[in-house]
Amino acid sequence: MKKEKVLITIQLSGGNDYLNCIVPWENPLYRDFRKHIKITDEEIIPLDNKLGLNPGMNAIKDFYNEGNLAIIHGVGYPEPERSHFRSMDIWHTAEPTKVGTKGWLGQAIKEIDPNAKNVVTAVNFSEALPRALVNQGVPVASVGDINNYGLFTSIEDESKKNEALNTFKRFYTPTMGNDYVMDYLGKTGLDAVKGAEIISKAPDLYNSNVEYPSTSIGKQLKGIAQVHLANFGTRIFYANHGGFDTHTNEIVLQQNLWQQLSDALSAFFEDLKEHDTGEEIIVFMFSEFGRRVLDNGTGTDHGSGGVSFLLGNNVKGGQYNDYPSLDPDKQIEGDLKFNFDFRGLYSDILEDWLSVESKNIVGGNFEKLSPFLK
Amino acid sequence: MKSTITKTKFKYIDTVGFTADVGGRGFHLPRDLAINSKEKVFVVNRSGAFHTAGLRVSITDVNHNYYGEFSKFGKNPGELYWPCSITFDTEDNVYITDEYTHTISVFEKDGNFVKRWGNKGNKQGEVNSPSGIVCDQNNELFIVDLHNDRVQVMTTSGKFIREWGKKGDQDGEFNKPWGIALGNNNEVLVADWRNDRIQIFDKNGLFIDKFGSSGTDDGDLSRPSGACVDKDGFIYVADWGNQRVQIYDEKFNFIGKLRGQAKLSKWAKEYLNANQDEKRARESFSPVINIDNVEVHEESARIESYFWDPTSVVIDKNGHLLVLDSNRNRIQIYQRA
Amino acid sequence: MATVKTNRSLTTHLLRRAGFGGTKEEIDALNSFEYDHIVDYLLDNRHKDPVPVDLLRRYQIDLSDVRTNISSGSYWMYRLAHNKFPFEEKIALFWHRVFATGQNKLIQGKPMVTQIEMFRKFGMGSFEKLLVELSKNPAMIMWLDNQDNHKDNINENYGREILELFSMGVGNYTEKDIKECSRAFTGWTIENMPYNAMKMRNNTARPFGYIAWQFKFDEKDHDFGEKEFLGEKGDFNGEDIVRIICKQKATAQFIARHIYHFYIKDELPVPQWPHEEPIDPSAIEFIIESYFKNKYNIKEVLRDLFKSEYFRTEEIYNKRIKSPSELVVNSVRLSGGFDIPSEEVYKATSSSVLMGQPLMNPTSVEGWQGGEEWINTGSVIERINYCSEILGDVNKDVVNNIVKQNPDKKNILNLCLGELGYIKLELSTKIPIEEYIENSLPESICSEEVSLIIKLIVSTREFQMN
Repeated sequence: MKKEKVLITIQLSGGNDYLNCIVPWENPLYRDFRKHIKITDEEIIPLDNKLGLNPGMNAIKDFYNEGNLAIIHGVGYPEPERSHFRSMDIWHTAEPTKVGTKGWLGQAIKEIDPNAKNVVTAVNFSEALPRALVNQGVPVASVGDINNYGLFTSIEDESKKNEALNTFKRFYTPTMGNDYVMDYLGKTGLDAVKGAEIISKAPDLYNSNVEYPSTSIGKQLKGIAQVHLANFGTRIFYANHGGFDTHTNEIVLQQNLWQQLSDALSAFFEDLKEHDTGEEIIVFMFSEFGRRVLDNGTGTDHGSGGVSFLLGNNVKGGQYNDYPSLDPDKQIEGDLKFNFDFRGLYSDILEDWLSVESKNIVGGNFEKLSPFLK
Repeated sequence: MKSTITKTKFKYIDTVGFTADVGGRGFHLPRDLAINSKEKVFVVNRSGAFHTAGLRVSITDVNHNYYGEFSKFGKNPGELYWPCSITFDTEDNVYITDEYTHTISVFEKDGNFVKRWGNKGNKQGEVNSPSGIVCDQNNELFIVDLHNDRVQVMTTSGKFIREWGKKGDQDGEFNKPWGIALGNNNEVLVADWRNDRIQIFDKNGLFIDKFGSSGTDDGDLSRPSGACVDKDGFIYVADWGNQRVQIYDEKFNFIGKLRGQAKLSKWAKEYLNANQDEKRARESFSPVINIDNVEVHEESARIESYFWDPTSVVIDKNGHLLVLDSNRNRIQIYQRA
Repeated sequence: MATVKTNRSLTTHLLRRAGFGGTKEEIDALNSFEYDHIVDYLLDNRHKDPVPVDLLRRYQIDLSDVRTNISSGSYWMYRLAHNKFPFEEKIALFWHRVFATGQNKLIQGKPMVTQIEMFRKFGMGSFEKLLVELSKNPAMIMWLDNQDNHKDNINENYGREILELFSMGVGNYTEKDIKECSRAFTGWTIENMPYNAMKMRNNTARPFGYIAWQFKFDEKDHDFGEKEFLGEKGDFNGEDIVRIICKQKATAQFIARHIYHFYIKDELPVPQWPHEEPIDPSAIEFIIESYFKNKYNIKEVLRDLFKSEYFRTEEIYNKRIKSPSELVVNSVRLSGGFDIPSEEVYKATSSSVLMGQPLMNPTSVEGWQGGEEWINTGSVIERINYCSEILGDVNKDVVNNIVKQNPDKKNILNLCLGELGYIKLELSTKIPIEEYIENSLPESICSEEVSLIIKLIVSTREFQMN
């Protein structure tokens, strides 16, 4: 059976500091601007003779060495917004100029499964429902705890829960024709139970020797592995990792966050390998913005141009685009200037990976990276 | 009894602080502060109920040194959930009340967790949301037992010694009390929060006196959250509901009030230097505007230099008054002229 | 026991629509009055001290300095659940839907909290006064960029939306009217605009937290020239524009449709209104007449409506899908309210978000459409789990009240339905539950069994409806 391609999006919430993530360690301007919170030469994980990685990114380095990690430099959009919520919204809706309502992935799901035949085409593991997944008529299963997902989770006794569920199914069966709203509610309720029953089987079907870290991102990625390996036909997964809002205490916080992510991703890919799979998956990681070039004493504040990542066995590893200049004249308002529109990156993912027409989703034609696949 | 003595002047000295809602140099929605024998200022950051990354105890001083922090959000031993108040014993060990877990956590002077004790209940030795706490020279802890409307005195290991108070508005009764402080002559001052007054007891709980009544005039109180006494016996009250600090002489005559006049702290200036666009925008900023709304909490929200929910006051060795300005994540420092 | 003077289904219907549903106790107490008196009581019984704000601020300091949407949403959630005058909160929710403003752009929660407070204060008085207050509301100014609407360089955003979304609807004015309207609102801005706008844009609470906004009329930036608006000429300021707007029949019609949509029956989506007739034209005419007769007083319009046959007809009982906030607040109220302002409040607020309604953060400028929009496979699970968890909690009011009445297998269903506010089930729902009780429950009914039945009832489609 040919495996359908799957996209996992990991949102790095809070604004990942680009300069201390991918560190231009050979550039003297880096030390000038980062007097208080620089990564030292001893700690840095060298990438090449110009750039190095945050010390928390050891597994990321391994992916890079294996040729499976694409680092996409200088990602952003015109007239950057420095508000978390607004900027995140822009990334979610691919709509930088007005308040958008439809998520880019929500629209992709509609293309992939127009009649919502599979209620678990998209599964969200992040705490809230990200607007990226929102679209009218598109079902998204939001899974908090995969080991306790579904209806009546507060009924502990399994047989009582099942009796309740059976009763529920009886009184949700639509009484066709007499009331549209009640029928709709009935159908949706039954679909929801169906989806929950599917997903809740995943942990039982799962068997692995890999131990995931017990962090939030570790649990999310383990859940994703469980659902994916159960072959329910899920195409889009969403996870969230944060908070990167390092106005203070940056050195400690950012390194911890990358270490957690590194460890979780490493477990995840090991898990896929153990199950002889992984070719059908790519992981896309983004943050809503980069941070100011000049530090503020113990951290950095909201900036614009940032870095995104694509990861997977099919990804052509390496670096894409140029690292933005640190030259004060080339900065915009104290930020790194973006040189690549994120909507181009979306187009890459949509068209070359998910085989979905991107023009309407991202609102036009944007320069793409392609080919980013091997 | 009110007096018209208002000659005493107070001088603004400095502001220490910065919004640090994920930890690091600064504070996040701090609730209480206390100064140890080495003049280090310990600030208990309660942080948000939903956003909890800023919860910790910050160690700093009035000279803008930031020494570090300890503890974090959580319900396990060593963690804090709704921390309310902090005090030191004679060895500088740290005691912190937690209104949610109904416990008192004990840390060594540098923040290493030792143990915690306390059980929810209304019997002797049990607590229901411990709020204010203060330790005297004999290492007896005076703990405000919020939902039991009483004060309990306990040993540093949580053994019950004595108690006083019950719900009510008569002398010696309380309505959701909050802060607690010691005077110069073994008196105990309790911020009787919903009764809008400060009550004064001896250490055995014998009612001595009280002052303050509901209102907004000079000397009146609205939901006072804390108090402290300087070496001359002047009493400073965090008049939380009125968004001000009031000062009384030893006879409880009103002698002055502070509304807040914070300027940028050292840390705030460093922040603005790294954010030139904000710095420029701030140049046209007029700090005081005419408020079109009489509600004082709202006024504080609109005027940055004013106190906004001042929860705690302490006097340091130099006689400086430190006011914890909780919603603005800073300490304003004043001196009696 | 007092004599019943009003049909119980009518009382429950009124309580659900004018507020957030009644408890059994409330319904039983109100039934002994004439219907019109119940309406008057619900509309006029403004409580002096509806919510203990001091306690809120003491327990959850981030409810004062509301930086995250969950904080500000929770502040409102607490009030929704505890206000002793629920009509006031319901109408604030109504205006929040019409004048949808969102924290995702404003960043701070404080301006939103202030806006909702303004709805409480002015939302049931004259619509004219309300529109003036709305135009001066800092959250609205920043939401629709009126701070960028200058004498020599107008920004039409607010000028357009006040006509299109807030009063008349598309098709009742020209592009020129929009320009003239925008000119009249030039100089309507906030204090310390450049700095506050920068802080909003940069979304940073540093150095010392946010500074709350205040309206400012900047005379120097106001265009005092003559304007021509909807056929009238004069040196119009914003107040004059609002006065002219409010006397238009189109405005009355637009507001009437919104009221109908919210209080009577789901209408078509707002963007279709200019092209489609109302589903009940005579009801709309009735509301329009009341609007003019009562000099735009919204409370009086609602009083007329609630007392009319349009509202009283059984056809509309329980026919609207509860919005997430209605569902959550109804459940919290039935369960006895929040103990103290604690994590329960945050849970309620977050659940409403997961169900699709982040309070103070609507998904678009058009607000929430409602109806089917609330229902998808994800939201259904959240709705049912939230309600069954809180109402089936054996430590809370509902289960305890039922256990006190010595339930047995014969009466348990009716006791539960009554305690949940006299829920009515269709036969196709009732039979499976009765069979479940017969076949699966033991003879002696304890709190655990009560809890199970409650969980089943709140999962029914009927409970999801208003």
